[in-house]
Amino acid sequence: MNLFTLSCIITALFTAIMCFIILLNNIKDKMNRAWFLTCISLFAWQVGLYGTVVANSAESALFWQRILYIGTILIPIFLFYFCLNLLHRENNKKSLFVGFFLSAFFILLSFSKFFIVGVGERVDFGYWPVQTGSLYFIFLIYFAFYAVYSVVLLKIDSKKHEGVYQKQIQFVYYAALIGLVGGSTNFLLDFGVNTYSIGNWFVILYIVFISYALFKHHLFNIKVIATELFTFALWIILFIRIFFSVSSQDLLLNVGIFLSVLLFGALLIRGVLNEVRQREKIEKIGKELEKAYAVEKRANEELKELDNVKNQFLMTIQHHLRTPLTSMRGYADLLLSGTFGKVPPKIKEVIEKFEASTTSLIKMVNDFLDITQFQLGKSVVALKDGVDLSPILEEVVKDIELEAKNKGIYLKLEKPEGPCVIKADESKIKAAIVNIFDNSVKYTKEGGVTMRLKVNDGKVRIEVQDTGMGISKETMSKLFGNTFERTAEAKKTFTAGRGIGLYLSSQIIKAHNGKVWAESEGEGKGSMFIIELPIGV
Amino acid sequence: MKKTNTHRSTGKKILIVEDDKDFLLILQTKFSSEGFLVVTAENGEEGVLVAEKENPDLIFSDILLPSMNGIEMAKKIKESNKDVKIIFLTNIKDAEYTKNVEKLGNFDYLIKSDVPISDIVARAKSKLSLK
Repeated sequence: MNLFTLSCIITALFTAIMCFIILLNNIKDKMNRAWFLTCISLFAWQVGLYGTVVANSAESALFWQRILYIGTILIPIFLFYFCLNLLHRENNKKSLFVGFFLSAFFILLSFSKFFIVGVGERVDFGYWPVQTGSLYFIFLIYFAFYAVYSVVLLKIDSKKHEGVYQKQIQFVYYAALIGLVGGSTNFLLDFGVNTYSIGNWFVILYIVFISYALFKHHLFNIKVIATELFTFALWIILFIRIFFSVSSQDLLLNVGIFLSVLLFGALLIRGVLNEVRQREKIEKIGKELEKAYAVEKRANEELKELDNVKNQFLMTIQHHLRTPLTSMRGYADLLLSGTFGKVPPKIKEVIEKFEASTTSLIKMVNDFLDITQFQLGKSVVALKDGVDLSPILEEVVKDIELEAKNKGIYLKLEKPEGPCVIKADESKIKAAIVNIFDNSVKYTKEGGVTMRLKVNDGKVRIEVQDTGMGISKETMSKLFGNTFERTAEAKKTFTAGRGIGLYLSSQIIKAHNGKVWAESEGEGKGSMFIIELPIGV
Repeated sequence: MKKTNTHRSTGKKILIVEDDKDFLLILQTKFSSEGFLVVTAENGEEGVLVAEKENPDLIFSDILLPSMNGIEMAKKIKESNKDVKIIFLTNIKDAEYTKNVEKLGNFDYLIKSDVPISDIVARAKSKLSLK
């Protein structure tokens, strides 16, 4: 066996292994399929070549030569097909179909006298085509066209792209260049120049390079590829060793070693392929996660948009509801303050009632708007440092003083000397305390309401204690939880209540990181409302 | 721009920027009767021009205004007149909104529907250190 026949065996074996790997891996993948076809054509070529070299008759050599040419006819068009897939070139399909048609045409006629007419001795070869038909030169043009076209496309596209993909293209470009130049030395033999024994070795490089590029393209790990290639190399070496056995005992040993390594190698490759599949699964999951992330991102954007619409709606509603009420009260203010001259007492009385009703309406609108904002999850409270509760409580008592006086009940405020500073929204916390204090006054017919301010353990405690109608156990649990819900007793005592004051107060206090609750011995035994607020929220 | 004068002058000039004609008239009437010289504008851009021309001591401005909102207008006016005092009068109660105004620095923020006109006048006098 000489180096040339050895190169044929190695190349054939290598291409066969590649076909085997692709079949095991994923033949449905376009790139894999294209490379599988290329390997088949290379295999046919190398087998035909080996058959020609070892043939012992002209007929046999001619048969193997025709097998060789079937492979040779297919090599450029499969390379072209592979390149189009790699480069994602959809608009070169016409050239591909023409190439397939031509290759089919050449294959059909390869067994005719138009292609190879006869074989004879040439240079070192016992049998080689010495007479070719008229179609042979057209075939050479076809071969050169598709080979050069593929290489040119690879060169052009390698400049267009970047990163890993660019490297894949470059790998294939150099591999195709080396393989085609090396393999084309075949044709020189037709003209009496023998470079075949060198050129054929380059074909192996072609396969190795493209296999690497292909697997790398599919994100195989380089370490995995190295393992596979190392196994294949070991197989080849051990296989060749069989042919160099010096005795039957040596032959038996070599065959045994080869078969064992073949088995373990196959298991190793299987393990590696499993690992690769796992990787691909992980990659797929990763892509799905990316998609899910994109969906989530879109949903968030839509929510944000919805939030903007909601905010805009709230602002518009606030503006449109409050603006006319503000003007109504403003005009009443002007009239009452005598800006337009002295107002007769009877008219003044009417205007005062008008102003009071407008103020009441403004308060109601404010409460409804605040509730809407809380229920839509909007922050209504803007906390500020340094808010002194002491004067706020004084104002609260002052605001309700007249109402208590009219009812004939007392109001008391018990608080320590000096300021009581917390972090709060001044107007909101005042509104919350007013609601609770006013609520106690409304439901107290006799006695009175006492408000106490206490500071201890970093907390402010405001107690509002009344001698009113008290709260039953059933009502206690619903007291701060629902809007517009009032007990029958409450409706009897105070008909104009809306049932939103305590709910709104609890929401405001919660927004201050505080809490509010009520205590009562039962109906008719008075009640106490307790507000707790942290000093440094 | 409209200009009104007073009989018992405080010597202070107030710019009112308000797009609601009723509320503008109410404020204008009230402040004039209290002895202020009142100039008015109905949008942010006009507010900037009037402020540049009239050099007021105090500005009352709505926030939601056509052509340029009150906050943008206040920033522009402050660029050329650092000392001018500005009080925002709005009907928008919104925590984030309030925070944005507070970020601007020394600006007051009043909710129109929550304060009677007499309180607005009182706030103006206090801001201008008038009795």
